[in-house]
Amino acid sequence: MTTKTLRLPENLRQAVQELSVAEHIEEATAMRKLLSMGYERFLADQYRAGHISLREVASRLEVSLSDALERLQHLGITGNTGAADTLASLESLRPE
Amino acid sequence: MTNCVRMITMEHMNVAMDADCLIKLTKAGLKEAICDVWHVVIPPLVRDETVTRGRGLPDAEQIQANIDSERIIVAEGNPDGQIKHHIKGEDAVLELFRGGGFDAIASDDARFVRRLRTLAVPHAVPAVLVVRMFRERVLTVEEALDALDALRGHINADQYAVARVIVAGEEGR
Repeated sequence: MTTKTLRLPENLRQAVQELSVAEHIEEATAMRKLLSMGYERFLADQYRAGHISLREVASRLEVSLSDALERLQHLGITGNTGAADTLASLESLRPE
Repeated sequence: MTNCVRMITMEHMNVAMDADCLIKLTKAGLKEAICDVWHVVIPPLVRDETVTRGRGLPDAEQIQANIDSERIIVAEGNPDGQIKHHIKGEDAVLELFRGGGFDAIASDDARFVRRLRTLAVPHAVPAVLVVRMFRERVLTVEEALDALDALRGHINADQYAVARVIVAGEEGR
């Protein structure tokens, strides 16, 4: 692990303390947990926007593809191919 | 019409599939139905991504069982017999497709799907596989809607909605 020094606004300092008390963990552990949750949310947003693939999400979270899918689902993201992709997909196939 | 009779009325489509699509179909419980009507082929890298790196997970074991029973075929080399080492499964799937003999690539990754559109490569997102089975009368309208409902928790809401509208709209044609 590396050591980083950062300034926290009051609301984030309180958030760290709140998590620390709620889960009976040290503030440093609480901070790492919040950072990790934030990073997961960031990756989920990147995936939803189609900027990164499921593989990249899995790789950055150091989990399997299956676990990455479940984590994304937990955050309410169930795939990143939308209506236009679906219609284009249908049209791209040879006629039945 | 029984499933057996329905299957032989449908022309087999050869599909090169990526890990994203394979895992979603497995989680939705649709992999067997898809593999019954199409030849699903994956490159070794996709096997590694879904089975080797997912060891111990239920879907990894199911995929391995399908590979063992040859319902899913692992293409071990390119037409020259060479195995290229790709970093990305998508590149391996695209190379597999370009080797010839495939009708489409199945994927549910937005970036890969857009790349396939740009390259004019026929492709199918998971819900489109279901729509296609419905259109070819492999699935009844009720079965197709049930299959889409099973997929719902694993695909984008818009993909689900579009596919559902298509199936419901074509009912009785």
